[in-house]
Amino acid sequence: MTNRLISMIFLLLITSVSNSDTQEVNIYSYRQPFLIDPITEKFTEITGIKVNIIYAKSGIAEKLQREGKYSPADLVLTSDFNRLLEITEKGLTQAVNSEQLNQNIPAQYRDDKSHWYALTTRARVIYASKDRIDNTKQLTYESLASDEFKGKICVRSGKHPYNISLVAAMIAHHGEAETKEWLLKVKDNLARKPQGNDRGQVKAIKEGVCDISLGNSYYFGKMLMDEAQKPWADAVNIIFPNQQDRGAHINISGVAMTQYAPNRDNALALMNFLSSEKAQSLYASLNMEYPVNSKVAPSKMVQSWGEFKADDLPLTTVVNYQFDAYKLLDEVKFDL
Amino acid sequence: MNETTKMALNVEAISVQYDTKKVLDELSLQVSDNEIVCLLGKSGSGKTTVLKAVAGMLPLKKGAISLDGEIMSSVAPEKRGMGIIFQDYALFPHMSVLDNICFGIKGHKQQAQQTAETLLELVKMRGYGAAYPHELSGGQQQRVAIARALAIQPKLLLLDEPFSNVDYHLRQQLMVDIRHILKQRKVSAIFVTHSKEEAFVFADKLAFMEEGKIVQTGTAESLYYQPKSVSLAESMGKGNWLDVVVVDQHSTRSEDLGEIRSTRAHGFELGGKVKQFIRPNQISLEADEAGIGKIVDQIFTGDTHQHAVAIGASILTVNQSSTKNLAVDSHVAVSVSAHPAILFEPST
Amino acid sequence: MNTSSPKRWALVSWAVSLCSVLPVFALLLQSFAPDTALFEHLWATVLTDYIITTIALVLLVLLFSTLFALPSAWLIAMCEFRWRKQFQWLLMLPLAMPAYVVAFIYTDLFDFSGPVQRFMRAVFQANTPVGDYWFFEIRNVYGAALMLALVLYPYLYLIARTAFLEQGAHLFQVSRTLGKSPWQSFRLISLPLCRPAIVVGLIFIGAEALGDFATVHYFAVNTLTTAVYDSWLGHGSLSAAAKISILMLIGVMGLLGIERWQRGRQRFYQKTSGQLSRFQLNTRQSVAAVVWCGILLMAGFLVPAIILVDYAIQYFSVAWQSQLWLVVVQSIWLALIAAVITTFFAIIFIYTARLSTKPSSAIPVRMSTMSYVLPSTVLAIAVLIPMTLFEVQINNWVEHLGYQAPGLFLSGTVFALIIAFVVRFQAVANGTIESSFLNISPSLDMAAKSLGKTDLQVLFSIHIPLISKGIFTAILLVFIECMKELPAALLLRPFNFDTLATYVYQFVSDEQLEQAAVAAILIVLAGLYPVIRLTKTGKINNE
Repeated sequence: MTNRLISMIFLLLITSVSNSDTQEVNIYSYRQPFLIDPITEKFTEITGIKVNIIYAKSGIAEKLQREGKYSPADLVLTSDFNRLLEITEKGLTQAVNSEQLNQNIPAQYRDDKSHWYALTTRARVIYASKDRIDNTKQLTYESLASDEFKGKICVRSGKHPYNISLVAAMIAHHGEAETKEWLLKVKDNLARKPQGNDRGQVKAIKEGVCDISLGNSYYFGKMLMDEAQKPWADAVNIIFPNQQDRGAHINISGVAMTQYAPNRDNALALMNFLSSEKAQSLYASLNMEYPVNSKVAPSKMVQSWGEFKADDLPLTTVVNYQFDAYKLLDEVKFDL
Repeated sequence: MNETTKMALNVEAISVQYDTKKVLDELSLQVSDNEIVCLLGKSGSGKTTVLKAVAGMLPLKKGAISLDGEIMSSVAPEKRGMGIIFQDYALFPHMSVLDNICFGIKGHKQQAQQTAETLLELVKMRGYGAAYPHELSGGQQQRVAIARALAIQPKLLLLDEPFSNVDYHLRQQLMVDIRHILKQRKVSAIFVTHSKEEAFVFADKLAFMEEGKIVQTGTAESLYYQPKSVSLAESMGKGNWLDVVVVDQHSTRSEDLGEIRSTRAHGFELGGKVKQFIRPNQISLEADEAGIGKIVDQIFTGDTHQHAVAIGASILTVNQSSTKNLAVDSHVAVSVSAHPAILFEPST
Repeated sequence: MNTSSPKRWALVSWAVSLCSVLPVFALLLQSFAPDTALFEHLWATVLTDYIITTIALVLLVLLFSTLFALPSAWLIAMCEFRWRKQFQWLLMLPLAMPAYVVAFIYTDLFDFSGPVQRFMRAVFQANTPVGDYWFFEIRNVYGAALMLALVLYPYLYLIARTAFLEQGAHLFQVSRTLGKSPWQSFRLISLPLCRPAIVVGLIFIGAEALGDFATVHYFAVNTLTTAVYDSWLGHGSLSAAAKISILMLIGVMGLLGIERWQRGRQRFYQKTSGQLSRFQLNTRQSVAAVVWCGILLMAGFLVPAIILVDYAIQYFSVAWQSQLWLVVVQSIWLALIAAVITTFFAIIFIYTARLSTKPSSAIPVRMSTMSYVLPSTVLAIAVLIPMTLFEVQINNWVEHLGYQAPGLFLSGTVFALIIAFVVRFQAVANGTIESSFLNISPSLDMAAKSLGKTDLQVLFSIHIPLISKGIFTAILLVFIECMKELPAALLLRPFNFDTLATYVYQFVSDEQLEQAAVAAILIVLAGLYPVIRLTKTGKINNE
């Protein structure tokens, strides 16, 4: 009985600790696998290096900290800038110097200390009902607080990283006091308690629950490509806010190499690939995102939404107000 | 049945079935006012089923039950006014003794408690009101159960092997006490047991049950000395079986014991071969060197000696007062006193 | 004659149970760590709301579960009506459904664009926009509580049913002769006597509700568990998360203590016999009983199951991936191992307590049972702390000796999952094995020992055969739990390792359950067989 137990343990140990024979890269990812699988599969096709991804909605920084130098992770992929900076600032990353990366990615989208690199950008746009909202040219984030939208706004949880980023940007531009006011008024204008995800808000607009919602730009494309969700997208216009002043709030998805990456060379290869034209065009066409590589154009569909002015406040500045944003959201009890 | 005694309970030809098995087969029973009737029988004879049917816990396939003239068949158990006592006491473990007794009493709480205290005194359990069932002995719990049942002033009390779980030494006292209480309060009772000793002490009238039917009803003495069936005869106590020949209506002849006189006409054919059942105390022994019997074994039971006496080819069980001082291996003269003969066909 | 045998057993028991309690202590320690900024902030703003919501949620779940479970248990245990035998096990089926799947399905169903409202609008011919007519909102605390209660009530049902059956008929019959109607007798006698059993069931359900993350998150209900997640994973403040967890733990312990104290001198167990004769319900009552059971069954199982199957058929090409097979195998294998290990430990713990009359011998059992009041998320965190500490120490030590460090041989492997599952569900195995052992009279032990057997031999030759049903039940129960377990699996799984639950959750959290419908059905199927076997072979020994 004990013998069997020991051999079972032994077997488990052998099979689960990765063997170093096959070439591979291990990724901890905040982005959902189905968004990046096609791209990593292409990488494996070309280089033969296996890519292992573990997806977590949250907690990767914590996990890396716990694991320390024994962490098997090589790269971290994030779906927003906050978390990219978080792991960098916690000292969990290492500097990567690569000609290719520097060539492919413009300077404002990479760390001046060479730790983090953005791969795509996305705007946080306003989705407005085609039937019920006109005069959309003037729409701004600030206008969401006005009385004309009372009971007409749907939004996901205020504490979701995408929204925290936006609120942080608001604080950066307007200061805490004004932003708090704004939050209170927006909360008042909500048609229902914050719930669901970005696409769910568009669905609500279609159903007539509300008229306006906030969401990331690429969801528009994703919805249009999905048979069941197309009606939702057809019911709204995509609007880039604040085009008359500072521009729309943007965020990025990005990558960084972990401090103790065991497969450093393979990881670097993957990073280079992700910034290369091949991968960038996949990002553009499959995910409807804006590629950072200036040589790659956004997909036709995304181009059809028009060019827009982006808020050029550096994200590194915005991220400083992240915790304040969180506190404000709690103070106004936005989600409750 | 005496016209002057009122009938409290009348069970008329009831039949009860479990699935397709007939447990009670057209059984009839009467309990008079203030009478204690015992249902005696082996396990499986259906005695507990009778109790349950009377209490309304089981549906009747046929027949009717009436209490004080009122038909009970459609009355719910909680409205029948019958108390029930179980072998395992069935005291509510999460309530104190007092609360248990007050449980069935309607009306003001204070009044109920007073009544309960009176009852506790009655069952000789004064002062135990605050105790919990698990803190009491078996006998004590049964006393509380009696008090609880009496609290609703029932017309009829049903007792299901109430003394089986009580210590032997306390059993006698408990039986006497409870009988006294029942008589005092003029409560009728049906009490079920497999123990004839309990039946003898506790009951006014016995009903012997076998396979869902009542075989014989009567006083303890009549069932003991005039049983109408072989199994009843043997159930009521030890006895001796003899093959005899009928001489006339008042005597039979046995090979070993000679003529046996009967004090009543037995109704069997002259000259017929029959079985006779003789109780151990219906035979007398006297020390006699020339006697036909020889004592081969002896058990001392306090008041009596139970002798095993060898006569001819048989061995008889004979009880004699132990003052007679008969020794083992001594010869004795054996004589049978005249008594109502218990005779059966040889095939039964 | 081995007087030291109980001591040896005690040693093993203590060692194992201390390990399982380590996470709780680690958590406690963490909560004392500084970094109160976040906690203070939370306290000043939303923590009180979270606490109120949590209490409301748990109370509602308990209320609904009781409402669903007790009448059902009573009907099945004490009454006779058409299809009672079938409903006996049918009512257990909701156990196989994960709560968040049910939540998703009902939200879809009752949404503005869902079939129910559409039907209503068609019937009343009102093509009104939303807000014009009142329709209950499902995405709130009440809805969340209802969802949880629908899938959790079977625990209480099972326990209560056993309790009713074991009560024996006599107490109930006596109560009736004392003038109480069946309903009064149920209320005054049968129900109070089930109290210890009901408490056990309610505590288990309460703990599950407390620790639920997926359903409440989906319903946008913010509880303390949300706060734990946020604090730890959103802010990286483990100490704040630990503090909140300890808060929850204290709350639960407090409730337990109050119940114990309120019980006082009352006893609830009576060694009664009494052949059970069920009440035959008349036609009207039978119909009511069948309707009641039918509604529960439909709401908790049939409706979600049918919809899942519908999704699966519609989206089959997307929902079926060949990797699902691997996920299924991994999930089952993991759940089985955890189930066997917990049962094995349970036997050791209980037997140790049995061997010695000292009250201290029961401590290992109590200790190992403690962990189940911790929500899974919290437990996952708690398990990681000592585990990684241990790993790092071993690695350092090995490197120091000059060899290659083995890496994360615990937290990076399924071991972490197994350990977390075992710690979490030990209580379930303990409870089952404990009641099995209770049914064996101590005189059997003494008889066997007098015939020259050692403690170990007695265990194997006498006890294990006698409690084999209990062992089977324990394994089944833990298996079901492990298959459905989500938060711990999410946090602790290694690379390329998905359980069915984490796989499904991926999609539910994105409101795309349709794509994971096949996987969800597999979870249900995997749980169905054990659930059905449970009702048939469980502690209940009639029919």
